[in-house]
Amino acid sequence: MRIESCSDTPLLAPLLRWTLPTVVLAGVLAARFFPFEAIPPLCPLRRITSLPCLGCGGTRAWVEMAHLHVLDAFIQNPLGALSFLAALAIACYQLTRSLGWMPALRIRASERESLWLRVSFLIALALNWLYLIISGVAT
Amino acid sequence: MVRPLSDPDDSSEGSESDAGEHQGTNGLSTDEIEASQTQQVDSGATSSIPGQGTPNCALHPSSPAVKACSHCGTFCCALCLEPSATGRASTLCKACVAAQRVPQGLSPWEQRSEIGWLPALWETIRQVSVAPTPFFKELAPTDRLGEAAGFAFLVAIPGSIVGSAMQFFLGGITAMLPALGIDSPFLPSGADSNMQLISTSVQALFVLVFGAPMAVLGSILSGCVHHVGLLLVGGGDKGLEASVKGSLYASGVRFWSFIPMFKIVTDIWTMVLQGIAYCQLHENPGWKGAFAVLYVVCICIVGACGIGLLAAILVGSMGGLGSWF
Repeated sequence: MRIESCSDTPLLAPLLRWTLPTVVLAGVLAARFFPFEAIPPLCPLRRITSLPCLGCGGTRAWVEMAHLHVLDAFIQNPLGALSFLAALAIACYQLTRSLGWMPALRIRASERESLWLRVSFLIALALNWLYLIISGVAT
Repeated sequence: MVRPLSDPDDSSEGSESDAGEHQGTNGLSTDEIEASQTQQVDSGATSSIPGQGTPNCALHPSSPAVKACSHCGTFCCALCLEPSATGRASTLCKACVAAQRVPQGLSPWEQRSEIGWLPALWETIRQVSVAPTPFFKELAPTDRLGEAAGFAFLVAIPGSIVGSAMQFFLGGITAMLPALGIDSPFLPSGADSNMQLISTSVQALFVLVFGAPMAVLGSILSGCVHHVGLLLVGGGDKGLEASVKGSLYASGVRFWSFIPMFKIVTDIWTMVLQGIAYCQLHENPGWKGAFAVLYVVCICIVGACGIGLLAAILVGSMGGLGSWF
């Protein structure tokens, strides 16, 4: 598996090109300044079954990351904290690519590698969820 | 779907060289259809008979014309018009469609400059609501994302207005009941009542102002999240734009949320349509579209059932163990 730069890849549609970085920026600002702690938990799965869903603790992880409390963020929801970093990376990539400062990047993977990548992602989701249930931090 | 209409200026491009290769549905080639239509037009067959107001079809002079082709202007009977996937007659004749003179894959909303804003909006809502599979099958998967977002914005406005009014009305009534002498432990009282009225007003205003933009943003983000689901099962071949476009057009049924208390139905309906949109736009099998829409929920539900089952087995075995002692 390798990452290649492609000069012939077209840019995303303008709507997506500018919406994605804007949404990420708005999310980071909201996580930094909006009083999310005043809002009660909204997860329907947790209300019905008292079990956390995959995203439970995600907002708190973003809030902690926005306050640069990295360890606390990973305690709240590890994948939530990673999604914060991934969102920032995607936003920066889209922005620099839209401004023409860098070429398009493509992940080249064989069929087997691609399958492993997908299975790993699903396993990571499951493990993250198991962690949320066992640790009880989301409840 | 209403077939696309285009600028007549670019109609000749690409049509001359390959026109003879296309066969009309009557078994005639494009050239033959055109020649026949030209002959009929020249001989006056398309004009109305003096004293009668109805023009005749250019190709079938004995049949009255239903409408004129919006591209070449030829009078056409129902047989000569290209049938649309949704069952309604198109505004293009078969010769224009066979010669590929017009770009394909445009939704009625994307042809609003030709057919008018309100008819285009209504026709798109109708097709998305009644015949989503042919609608998304014919839709071009990429391009014109901004127009799709505009459509999603407009259809969300009635629902936002009604939602805001409902919020204000129900919240306001609840806040004012104590002042009317109706008392209950579930109702606010005194200063709480005033606070609830203010809070309700602010919430209603928020829904009114930000309802439609948030609906568009929600559709874009759900398209992105669902695209990840498609990638997980090896789908989403047409790219992120196709998923987002499908999600935006699927939100067309949110128009019906102007019916009070109907929002939950439109939310579920939108999810179903998103699944259909992903299948058709990416040409993926149905289960991939369903997975994309439901994967997060499914993982939670399947996991919750698994944990429940495990707990039941454990409790059962503990009970069995108890009988041993």
